[in-house]
Amino acid sequence: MKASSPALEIAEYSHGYHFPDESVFRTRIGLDESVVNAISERKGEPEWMRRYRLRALGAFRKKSMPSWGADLSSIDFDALCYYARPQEAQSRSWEDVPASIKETFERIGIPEAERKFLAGVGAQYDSEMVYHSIKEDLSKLGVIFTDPETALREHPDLVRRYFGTVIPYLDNKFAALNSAVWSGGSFVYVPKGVRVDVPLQAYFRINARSFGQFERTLIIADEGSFVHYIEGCTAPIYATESLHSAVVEIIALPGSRVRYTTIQNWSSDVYNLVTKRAAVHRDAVVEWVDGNIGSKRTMKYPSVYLIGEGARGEILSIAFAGKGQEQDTGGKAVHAASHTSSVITAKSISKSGGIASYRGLVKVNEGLRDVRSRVVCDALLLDGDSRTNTYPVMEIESDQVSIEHEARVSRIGEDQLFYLMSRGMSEAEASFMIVSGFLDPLVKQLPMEYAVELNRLIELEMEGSVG
Amino acid sequence: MMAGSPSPWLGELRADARDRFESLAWPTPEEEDWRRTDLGRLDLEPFLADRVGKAGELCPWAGEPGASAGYIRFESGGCAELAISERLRSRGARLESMGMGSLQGESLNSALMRETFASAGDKVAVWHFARLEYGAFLYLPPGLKIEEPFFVDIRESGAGRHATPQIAIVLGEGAAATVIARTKESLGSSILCNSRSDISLGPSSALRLFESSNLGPGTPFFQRSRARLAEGSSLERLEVQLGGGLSMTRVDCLLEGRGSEARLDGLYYSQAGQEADVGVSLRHLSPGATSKAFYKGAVASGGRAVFQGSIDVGTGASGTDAYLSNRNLLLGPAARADSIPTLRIGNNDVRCSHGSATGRLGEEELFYLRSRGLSEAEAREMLVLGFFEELLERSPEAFREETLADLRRRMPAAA
Repeated sequence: MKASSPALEIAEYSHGYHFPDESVFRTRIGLDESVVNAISERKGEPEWMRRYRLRALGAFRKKSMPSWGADLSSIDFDALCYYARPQEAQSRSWEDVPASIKETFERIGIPEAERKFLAGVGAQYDSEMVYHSIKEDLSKLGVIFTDPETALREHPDLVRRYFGTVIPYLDNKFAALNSAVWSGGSFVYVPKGVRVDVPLQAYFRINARSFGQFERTLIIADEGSFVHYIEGCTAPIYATESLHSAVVEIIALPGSRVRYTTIQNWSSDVYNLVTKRAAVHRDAVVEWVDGNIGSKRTMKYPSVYLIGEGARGEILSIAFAGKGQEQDTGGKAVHAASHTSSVITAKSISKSGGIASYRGLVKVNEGLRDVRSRVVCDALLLDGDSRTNTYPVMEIESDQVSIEHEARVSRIGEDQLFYLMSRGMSEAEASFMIVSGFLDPLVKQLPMEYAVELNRLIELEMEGSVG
Repeated sequence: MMAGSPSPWLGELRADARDRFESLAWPTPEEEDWRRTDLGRLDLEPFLADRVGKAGELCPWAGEPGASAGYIRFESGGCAELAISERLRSRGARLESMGMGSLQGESLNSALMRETFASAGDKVAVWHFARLEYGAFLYLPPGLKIEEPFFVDIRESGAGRHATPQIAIVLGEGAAATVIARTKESLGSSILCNSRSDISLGPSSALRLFESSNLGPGTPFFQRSRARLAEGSSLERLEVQLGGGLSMTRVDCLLEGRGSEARLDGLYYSQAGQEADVGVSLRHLSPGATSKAFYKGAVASGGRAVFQGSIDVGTGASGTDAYLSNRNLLLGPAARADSIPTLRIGNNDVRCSHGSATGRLGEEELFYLRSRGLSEAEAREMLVLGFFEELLERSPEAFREETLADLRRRMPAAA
């Protein structure tokens, strides 16, 4: 392991810490009806949710593994634990948070983040929210920011109305799995016309050996509202492989705008198989900013379903595939209404044998007018051992459209390196500068703290990449 | 040309292919290559019986070849005409009807057919070999460069005919040839066409190949093309796909030799009821090779087109320069176009990119042409032909003029 000199603190941060597992309740290894029932009972859920979970379990069993994408052959669903709860009650204030968890959060900067953003902080330790605070003025505005379990208790009608409507459990094998065993996550409701000025943030952290984590996030932006939700992930190193399979549903009602930012930095043994989709109503805007740096295998394609006239979707995707990593990411835009537009921008970097793949879909349904979409993919290969793939699909069934796609693959040019080194930089510094420049257009889209964090992570990933 | 029965290798190949055909299942939409063309929708039964079907009346041949180096024509499976100048023959050039050629030609052709049969991946591709009836074979010995084009004309007609045209081209080191190959079907016939082109280019050889397929609106059409490029060789190819009812065509270009060059272009047009699934694969297997592919399609209301293009760069293929472009024009509200360009890159010393754009005719251009007195249909026709012009301008005039005429016939009357 690494020595704890100050200079290496960021390095350790990127790999995470491992604290003793203090889970209070956990289901047995493996998955069947009794496990699903136990999860539902433990959470004291209404009957409809229990049935929903069981139906989803049936779908999970029937659905086959994807025949495409990253290599998932070493996932053993029977060797995973599907639910663990760290402690009995949800903490109300910072003082109640156990010291070990607090220390974990301290090191990844949550208290600092809270000081900085003064917004709600929902932090997930294992499967449940253990610490949660919402700024008073937000709740005064009627904004709900809580975990989905609490939402199910306190706002049952809202949850029942929207839960699973954007991503039905039949969607794919991993959405079915999540729907059966989901635990924790976030529930956000922004009332009509309310603009949330500060980003809502949730930090996630896995901390049980070979533990599967299945957060469920549901964001509902009512008419004319605005919210920016930020999800950042870090994870400790484990000896065995972990599965992370989240479902994120966004409902952007007419005239609303939702921005969802993720920086994913799971440790290099995590399978991150996530379904993220937004239903974008009339004149609404949804923006996904998705950065994928960690994990062993990522399969994630944030999607916008533009179902109302004037709807707009934007997807920015950054992927960094290092040694042993496969980042299979991209975006999907489904145009189901006239006068809709979408933009997908993807940048990926492959290094030390890593594989970065862009996979995307632009679909325009029949009988629409004035539909625009533009997709740009840039891939940077840092060495001869690495790979990059681009798999876009365009399905166009209306004629009054303008659909564009372009993709480029390049490497760090020797002339660029030579120039920077002639100005006194080391090769490593020069490479980092070129990579930073490559990512700059996307990094600019992040809140400053995240941009700084992302830059640090990239710098770390770049260490020893040349020479 | 030798009279008598065909070379025995052809019968042996067919027998081997029949065995493999029986052992294979039909491809399903589960398989990536067939995801967008569902064979289950076709009634293949009439074409399965072990007979080639009955030939029908042939329509008069429209395009007479101009000056040519050689000419071969097949009518419903039979070689109707074969001509190559004695001058070229004496220098070693071979233009032959498969199975009926010279010893040297048959030997080269059977070797190429055996190799491509071994590479045939699915039941449809194997089917071609199991029923292989006729084909054209062209060979140029090392160093022989010929400017005038060779013509291969294939005319099909009949009811229930299962046509399996085959075009095989082998160029020796430093040889150069231009080939124009046209496949047509008479109006009112009902056939299934399962054709192939196989190309083997020796070091530093150069082939320019212009191929068009113009079949009936109800004809199922499958076409596989495979080209192997040795060091320093170059292939320039334009394919014009006008159907078939449901068609599925694939080009597999293997850049095996250092510094080889491929320029592969395609033009497709789908009318109402037509579905064209056009594919091209550029595979870079050695260093310093260049490939460019430009595919353009226009789809009328009620038609459908799928383009699937890929660039694959192997780990050893440093210095690769590859570009693939797809443009689609949608000509009516119920037109549908799918575009799937793919990159798979395993070497970092490359320049690889692709682009795709789908849209409709520009309102402003239409308005301008109408303001100059053209009818809506005339203006649209002019713009569509203009859209294809950049692909056709590189081709020999006879091929270009005929393609433009074929396209005009397919577009709504510009009266």
